[in-house]
Amino acid sequence: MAVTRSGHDGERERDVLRRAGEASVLILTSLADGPKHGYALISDIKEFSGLQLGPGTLYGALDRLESLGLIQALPAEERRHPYRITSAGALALREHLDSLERVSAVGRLRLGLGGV
Amino acid sequence: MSSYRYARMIEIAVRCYPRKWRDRHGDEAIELAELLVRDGRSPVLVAWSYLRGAAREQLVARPSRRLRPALAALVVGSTLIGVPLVLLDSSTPANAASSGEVVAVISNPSDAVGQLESVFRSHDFSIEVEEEPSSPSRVGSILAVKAGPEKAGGHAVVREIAGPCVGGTPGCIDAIAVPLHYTGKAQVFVGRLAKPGETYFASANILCPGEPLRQGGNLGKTVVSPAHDLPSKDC
Repeated sequence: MAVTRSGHDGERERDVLRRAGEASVLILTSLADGPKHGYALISDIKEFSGLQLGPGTLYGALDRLESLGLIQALPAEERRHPYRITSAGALALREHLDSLERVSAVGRLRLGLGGV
Repeated sequence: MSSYRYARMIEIAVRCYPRKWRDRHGDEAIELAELLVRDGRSPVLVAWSYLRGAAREQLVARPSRRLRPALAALVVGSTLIGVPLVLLDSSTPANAASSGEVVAVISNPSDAVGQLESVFRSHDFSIEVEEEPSSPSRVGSILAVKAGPEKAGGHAVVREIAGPCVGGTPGCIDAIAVPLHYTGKAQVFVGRLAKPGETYFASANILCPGEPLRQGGNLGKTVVSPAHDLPSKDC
């Protein structure tokens, strides 16, 4: 199932990533700067977020994202299967990050931390 | 924990996934686990992550079969206390471990060498896998096993297991069983497509799918007719 923006003004993309969970957001963020396979994804996510993604969680999220049309498997390199983010995936990620930014701004304001 | 022990634990965890998942991710998942453990990740946590993922996959794939997650829990529990497992799942994976021996199965003929090497490496076996040219229907199957002089009760220590050839015809070897604590050296020869001019290391019945007399609809013709289609002796 591919995700498109038509007629939903981004709601559907945000919903997809909310349901898909944090691992999916981390994976899309990692793939945003180029294709990666499983080990490279886990290493990159640990580096930019400090989170250690379990391999079982990783594969579950990859399959889910692929079935949603947000990522695409590339031809295997020996045993490794690299993935790339699709245009629908990039759109879903952008919508999700925008949403997080809005929540973050409100939260910071209410905590008296400044912000928007 | 020894490398053998954790490798076995992770193999068992990966076995809990549905076959479709294993065919696609199995080899990579085991390699990924090895890399994570090498980086310092706890093998127990890696295996646990796979078990949780397998339980999710089983529930998604076959929601009515609620026994699967229970089986997964049984597997991890048994493994952690070191009980040898015999899993009676009909969908045998590429690296199944049965009681007392490791069964290396070729489930994907296009990656036969990779599958066998992965199993042998994870058990620290000194078994080399070499490719040799073979007739088409034996490509991706085991052509021969050359094991050391070790014998057990007059039987070869490394046991060949027959399976279907490419195309489904019986008569090929698609798995071998190796004792868990095998320390000898062995060579396994796997069939690959022959290049022009090469001699077959092994061939199958010429009537099998992909073999000379099966090609081009020769079956059912008289002897005179297909003889015209066969290559001349000088080829």
